[in-house]
Amino acid sequence: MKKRTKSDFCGNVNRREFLHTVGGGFPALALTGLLGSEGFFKELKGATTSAVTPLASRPPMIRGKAKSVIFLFMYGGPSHIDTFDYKPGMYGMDGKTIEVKTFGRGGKKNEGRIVEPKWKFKPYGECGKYVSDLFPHVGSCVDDIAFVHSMTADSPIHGSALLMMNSGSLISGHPSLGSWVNYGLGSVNENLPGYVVMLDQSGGPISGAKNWTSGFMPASYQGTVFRSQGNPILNLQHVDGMAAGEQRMLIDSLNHLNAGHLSPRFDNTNLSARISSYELAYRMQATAPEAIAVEEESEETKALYGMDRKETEDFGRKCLLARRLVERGTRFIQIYSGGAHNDHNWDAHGDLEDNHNLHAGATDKPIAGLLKDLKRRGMLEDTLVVWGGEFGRQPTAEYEKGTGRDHNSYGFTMWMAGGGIKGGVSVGQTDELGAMAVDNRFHVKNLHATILSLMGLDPNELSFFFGGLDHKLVGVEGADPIREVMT
Amino acid sequence: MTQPSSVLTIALFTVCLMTNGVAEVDEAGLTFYREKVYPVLQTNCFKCHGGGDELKGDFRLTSRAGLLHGGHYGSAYDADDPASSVLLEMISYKDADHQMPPKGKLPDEARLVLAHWMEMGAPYDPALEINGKAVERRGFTVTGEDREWWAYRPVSKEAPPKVADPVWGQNGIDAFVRAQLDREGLTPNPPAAPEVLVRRLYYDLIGLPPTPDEVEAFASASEKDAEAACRSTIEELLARPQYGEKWARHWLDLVRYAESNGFERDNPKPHIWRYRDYVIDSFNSNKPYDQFVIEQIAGDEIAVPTKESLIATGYHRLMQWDDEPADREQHVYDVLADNVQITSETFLATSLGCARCHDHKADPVSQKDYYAFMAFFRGVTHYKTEGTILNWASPEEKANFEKEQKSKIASLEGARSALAGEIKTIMEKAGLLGAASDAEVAPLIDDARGAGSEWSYTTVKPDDDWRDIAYVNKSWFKGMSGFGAANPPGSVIRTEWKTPEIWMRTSFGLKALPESLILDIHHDEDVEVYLNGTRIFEAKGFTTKYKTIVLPKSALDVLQTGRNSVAVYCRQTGGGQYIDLSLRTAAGATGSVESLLSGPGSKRFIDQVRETAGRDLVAELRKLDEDLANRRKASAGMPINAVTEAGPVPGPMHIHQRGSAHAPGDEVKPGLPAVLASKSSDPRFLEASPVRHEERITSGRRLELAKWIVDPANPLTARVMVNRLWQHHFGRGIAPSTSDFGHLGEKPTHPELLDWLATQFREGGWDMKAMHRLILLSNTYRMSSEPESANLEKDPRNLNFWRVDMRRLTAEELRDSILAVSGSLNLKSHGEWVFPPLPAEVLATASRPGEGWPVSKDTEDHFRRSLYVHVKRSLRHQMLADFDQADTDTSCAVRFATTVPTQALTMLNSSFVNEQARIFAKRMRESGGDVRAQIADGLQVALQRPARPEELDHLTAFYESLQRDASLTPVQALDRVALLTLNLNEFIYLD
Repeated sequence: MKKRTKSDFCGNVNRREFLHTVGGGFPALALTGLLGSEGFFKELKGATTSAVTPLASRPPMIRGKAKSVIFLFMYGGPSHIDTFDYKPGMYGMDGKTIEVKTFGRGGKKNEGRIVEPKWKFKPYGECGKYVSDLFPHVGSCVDDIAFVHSMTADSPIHGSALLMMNSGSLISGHPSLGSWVNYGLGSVNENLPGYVVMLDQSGGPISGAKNWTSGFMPASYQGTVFRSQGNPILNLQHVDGMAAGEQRMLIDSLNHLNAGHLSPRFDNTNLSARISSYELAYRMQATAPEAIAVEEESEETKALYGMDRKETEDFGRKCLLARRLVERGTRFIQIYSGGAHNDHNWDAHGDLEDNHNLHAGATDKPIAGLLKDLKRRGMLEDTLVVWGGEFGRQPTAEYEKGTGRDHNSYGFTMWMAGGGIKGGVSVGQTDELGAMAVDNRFHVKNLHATILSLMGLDPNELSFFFGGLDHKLVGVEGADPIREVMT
Repeated sequence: MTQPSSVLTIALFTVCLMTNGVAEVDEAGLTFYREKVYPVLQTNCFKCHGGGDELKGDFRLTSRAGLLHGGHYGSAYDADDPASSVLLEMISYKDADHQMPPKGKLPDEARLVLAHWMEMGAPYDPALEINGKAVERRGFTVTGEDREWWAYRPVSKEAPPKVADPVWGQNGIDAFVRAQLDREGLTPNPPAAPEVLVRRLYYDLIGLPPTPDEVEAFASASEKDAEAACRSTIEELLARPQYGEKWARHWLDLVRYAESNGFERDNPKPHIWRYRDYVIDSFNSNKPYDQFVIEQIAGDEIAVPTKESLIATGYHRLMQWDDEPADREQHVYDVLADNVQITSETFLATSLGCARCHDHKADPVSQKDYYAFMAFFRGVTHYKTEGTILNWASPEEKANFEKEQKSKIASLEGARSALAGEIKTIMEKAGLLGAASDAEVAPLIDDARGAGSEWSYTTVKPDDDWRDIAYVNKSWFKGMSGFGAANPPGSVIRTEWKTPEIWMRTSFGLKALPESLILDIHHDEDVEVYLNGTRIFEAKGFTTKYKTIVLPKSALDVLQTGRNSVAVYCRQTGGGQYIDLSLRTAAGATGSVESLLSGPGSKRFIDQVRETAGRDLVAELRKLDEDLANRRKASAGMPINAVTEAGPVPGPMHIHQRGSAHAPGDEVKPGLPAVLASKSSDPRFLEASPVRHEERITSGRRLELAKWIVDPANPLTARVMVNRLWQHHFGRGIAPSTSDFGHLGEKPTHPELLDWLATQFREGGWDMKAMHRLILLSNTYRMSSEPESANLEKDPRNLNFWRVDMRRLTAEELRDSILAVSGSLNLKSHGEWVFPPLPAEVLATASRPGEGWPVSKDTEDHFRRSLYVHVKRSLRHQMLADFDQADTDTSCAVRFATTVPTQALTMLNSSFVNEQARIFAKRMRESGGDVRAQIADGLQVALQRPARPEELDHLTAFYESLQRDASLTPVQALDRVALLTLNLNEFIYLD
């Protein structure tokens, strides 16, 4: 397949011209896409000559295996040595003070008291991967999973680390991963958002909407917050309720008057784009509730996701909903495990055991259910599942007493499955304590490069011109994907 | 690099031998390289350093020349001391910021090989060397051609051309535009109809629609004299306060105005709204643009700073700011870099930001230019959570305040203590309170009356971040509380403190978050207490005994499980001195009144108080607590969140290699970009003189920069600003990329016109209103927007301005217009930001749902213009964001105008639009007449033109069918007509 160059990425319009004229030109371009794929008011296309279509589907830049991403974001930072990064040498060392470099919210330290892993590990699957007792169900899927144990990030502080994991930068204002994917590929189903975010019941993550912002890109690429119950999208239903028939009458009448307004302004594609946007909105009102109707799934499926048990019901519903959205063409779905502050998420500064039992307990079964369900439906091949938080946790105690661990961005674990990922593989290592990645280290940018590559986007070519610079998710210096985990 | 010349000679000699491959080449060295070194380098290093397509860090390791030349960190080989070679330091992994290879530390064996190789003099086998062009770093020169770029050339003084059509010869704008149209064979559109033009004028000048009466008045005046009608309407609109509000919004987009810091806490920026008001006032008072520029950049350094000019410097405080950055030093420069970028883009339309890591790839701007420019801001103090506040007050105001403050606090404390006593008595009488004591509460930090606590402390002023959570204070002393000298009343001194000031830190652990927090404090004059970096208490004056303060909820909110840090600052001026405090949580059940009021189960106790006393004494007590807290915080005069500098001489400014503060290169002085201000390829370095105003001393550097920006010799400033004025009247700038006049921007379509306007602007005294008049009175502006086939064919994008382009209302104009036509709009101007209600779904996306968005109590505030809605970085107003309000983290010169289905959902279904539709419908009903007349009235209000009969036929039929087919009441049906009207394309688009 021919590698597409930057200059023709946006179709036949010079990309800078495209961006500088967006003030007036963007909706016109959007319209062409809407018209092209929808066939609405085709006769009204008028003088439009451009072919750039921000929301419509575009072919990938390079060969990619995945069509959708489900990013399971373990907000707060799960402890890698208590979950997937087995450190047998640490058992029996509890309470020992050792020299080790750490950097967390408590600052930089040179020594600390070891808190040994609080759960037992055992081997799973054909690959024999050791997984802790926190994740027995995920353990049963290890042959489909590639673990990256040598992840590093630039910040051990939630605010900036979340921004880095979501947008590749410690400073906000940059588009998030899901925005890049939708910018690069467009949306397959215009009746549903291409980028969906599902938050924890306790609240959003620190910095809220900055984590799914489109930054300097148009707002059309920002994540849409989706609720798993009730009204999935803000303003999807009329505030006081309005019957479909009544709304149809309203839109028909509106269309009639708008058509009258358009007729002497036939060349203005913004106007016709706006007319068709009402038809899309009308259809979205039918499509979105149907997408979240997980009740129609079989009892067996619901149980597979843990929806039959109180502690796993919520996350299970979101995972199942994610599968349904993938089936309907949503490109990028992010589900947060944990929200708000302190023990509402994986941020185990106080009691490690209470915290991780709670959050692993709520997610283990649903995550395994998602992987198994995708697999049996043949969807895992082109759905990339990513698991991890904004960083990991330290091997030592944060405070004089207790088991709480501080943040650790020097080394942590993330895993991926499906969508062009090799199963049963582990890449990279942390030291014997899990304090620091020492072998085959990877940066968040490498993870992003991997995700984009698997989606068929060249991480070092996919760019957006803004403020005098061709911005890339992986930064101006570029980054390689983690080839060791790719098929 | 300095090296003894003999060593250098030897090194060069070795190279000679090696590269020539003649004479006595050290065979052992070659073999060692081939067999031991090469495999290590090839596997681990060559991909990025000369063996592949890229050359990271400008460093080539595949040849000896490359090794010796080195990269960003200088030569990688140190002949003088091979063991200290940069290459060996990089692979040692000792410095966390400089580690190679990045994927992981090399095995010991490989590192020994490389160390040995360095000791041997780093021999290469020439046969295995890969040489390439990129060994030398690209030199930076500014060429004559660079200086000839249109934006850097002096502004041309060319007079407007002669045109045949006399109507188009009066106004210079028309002459330039018409000449180009004639050249291109295009015909200008005829003038727009009066009702079209008046709507355009209103929106372009005040961002609001005209009323039907105003439209009618304009139309009839136009019939008599179109130009005079236009002229008087323009004057009238320029004089309205709403003009400044509309144009302030354009400016605020450029300076990425926001009212909170972003990141984890996303705290508000105190008083920063005064900057927004300053911008409004500047437009309304038609402040000359040069003054507007100088005040924002250096309003504190001008000859006579005023309240306004100090407020203007809030410009430097608008950026995002992380109170807990991963890398403190780097973040200090991130903030400066943000301000450099905004300043260069806003005033100069130059994207300097691209030269932070390396010389600009497209424009003639070097990294040296960049850091020389940054040096203008080097003295600016780093931002703080509570803002960098200057108080504006006269000396008398200050003295009066101090006097008043003391007596007010005393009287509030008296009232509080009496009320607490009353509660105690009442409850004891009722048998609901035992004689319990404070001893039952659990201390987090004990004070000296008990066991005391260990604190770290210093008496030498520490760095600004001393109060932050992660501050590490290795060199501080340790001591047990209390701290003081000369035994003032009530003191228990365990550690001597005799200096005027003390800074103290300690910490405590928490397994779970408590429901209350009580501070006992005995302090000298002026104390500040910080919890996890946030100020939770401050007081002026001294105490003579321990005082108990129940801390407000905001203090509880900053607590976290695990480690919590407490930082205290105290100062004293004379006499005995003392500082000591404890923090505790209430124990519950049978505690004192204070602990029962805030501990677990407090709700029951509070209910009991209310029932027993017959009125809500606790609410009264809390009110007093709040008053006291506010009073203690108060200071004389008006607080202004302004720029501050630490002194006359800022620290050194180095070039940062690859943009990293940890890789300082050469030092640079403040200077202006070479291509604009200097004859050489080096920046024009400037000397600044320190400026002193009262107790404030600054470097004077920003003033130098500001003066240069408005200097007549600067070719950019006037061009940039007139181009922006043009942009917001015509939908695009004459140079369309209004913040990028560089090679990556789009060139002007009418360069001579741009220069002519720039000259008018500057020579006319930087008069912005005069430029509006000039533009708006032109025939060019007054053309219709209609499509004309022949022109469309030749110039479909209207690059030549043969018509005026239609435009969509901006997010703010849309919301304001909905409020205006419904009659709800509250035109109150200025003042603190407001919080209109947001949907619960939006609030739920915050990490503290509902917090940071306390809906304004006065509902009238919900209907203020959108400009006054609080701009919180992590929680945006959903409707405004959906309609492409500018992002607040980067400068926005041209907004997007997207059309997506979620906008339609908002306009059809949201509670805001439907509520306004109901109010609008009510207004229609009240206008009288039958339904047809009511609808006619509504359409006229919304579209600013009389309704047409066929529209009325259609909407009346719609109104009736809603009742017939959808069983709506007449009232509901008219609500829907109103809703439909607000959704019309004609409502949201201007001709």
